[in-house]
Amino acid sequence: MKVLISVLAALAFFLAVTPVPVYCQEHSRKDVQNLIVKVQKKLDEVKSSQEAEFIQGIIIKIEDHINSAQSLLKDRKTEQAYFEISIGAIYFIMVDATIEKVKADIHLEDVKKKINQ
Amino acid sequence: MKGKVSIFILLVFILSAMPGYTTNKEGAQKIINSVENLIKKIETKDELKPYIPFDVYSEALLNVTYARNMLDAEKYLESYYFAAASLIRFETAIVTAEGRKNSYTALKMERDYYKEHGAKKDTGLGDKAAMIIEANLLKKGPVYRIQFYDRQLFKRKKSRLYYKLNNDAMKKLDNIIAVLKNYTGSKIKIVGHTDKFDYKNYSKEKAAIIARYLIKNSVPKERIQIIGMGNKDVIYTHIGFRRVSRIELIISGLE
Repeated sequence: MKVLISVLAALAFFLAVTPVPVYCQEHSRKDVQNLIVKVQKKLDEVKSSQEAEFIQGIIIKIEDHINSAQSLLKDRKTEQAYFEISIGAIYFIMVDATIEKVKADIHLEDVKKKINQ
Repeated sequence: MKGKVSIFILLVFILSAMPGYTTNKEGAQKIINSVENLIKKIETKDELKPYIPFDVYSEALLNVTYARNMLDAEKYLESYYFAAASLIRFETAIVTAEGRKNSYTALKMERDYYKEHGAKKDTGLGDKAAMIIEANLLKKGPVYRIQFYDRQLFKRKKSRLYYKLNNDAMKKLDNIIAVLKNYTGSKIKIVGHTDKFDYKNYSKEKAAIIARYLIKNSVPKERIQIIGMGNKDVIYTHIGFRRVSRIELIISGLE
């Protein structure tokens, strides 16, 4: 009985003085795996597009996030994997913006050449 | 006593081994600092401000605010995620703004050159290109667009606008009517915006005034679409993003 009380007291002390990490899983392993597959599929489309040479830096970053998410998923850190792959997915808006900028830069150069002829 | 200590140590080990949020406060704080530096950088770039996409920029601001709140609440994983998302969105806003600025610069250079030299532009639009340039229509993606503030279109009495088209506006609209008549497959959207509460669907009423002028000048009714956006949309002005009373004309089918 004394041992039990002392254990409970120690536990109460620990909970009171330290921030206890509470594990709250909002996303299942399957959801995160599906998300990784979607992002990988979209990345493969981007890689095979004509404009891939202009966005190599962003492609590498997305690949890093996919690899990191897969590694976290293997280590059963599902929530961290979800956040990691979500960050990778956001990079696709930068892909579109970069492609548009490159096209605008090329158009501006063409116009400058035409006018200076 | 030894038993109690070992049980205590065992409990500490079990609880700290539980999977949970990362306690990477420094990582989250570092990214938030990067975002704040990027915001300051954008504030100094006056030449880019008119081109920054409002939707991406405002979402980035919301993300960084949420990241700061999560950092204060010691939820470091969420803070890290929202800070990273905010950083990517701000960087995207800068890239988009730079692209738009170059695109508008190119269009303006072309237009000024062809106005000055009276040449016909080899755009694939044929002989009617000069008409589009005369109407000051700017290409935006697959459509051509022009925007007028209310004060440019409507008459004034003392300091108040009353909604009848002024002579200058009629001349500008005549140029647009010429384009519509020559491109028989084209369609026009007239979008009205207000800066205040859209009382009695007023933004649509303004667009209807323009539509009536076009119909009066033989533009078929079927090719005209009137939209009232109310005060939903904002544009960048010299004093920041604002709701401004204006009319936007969007013409499609010119190619």
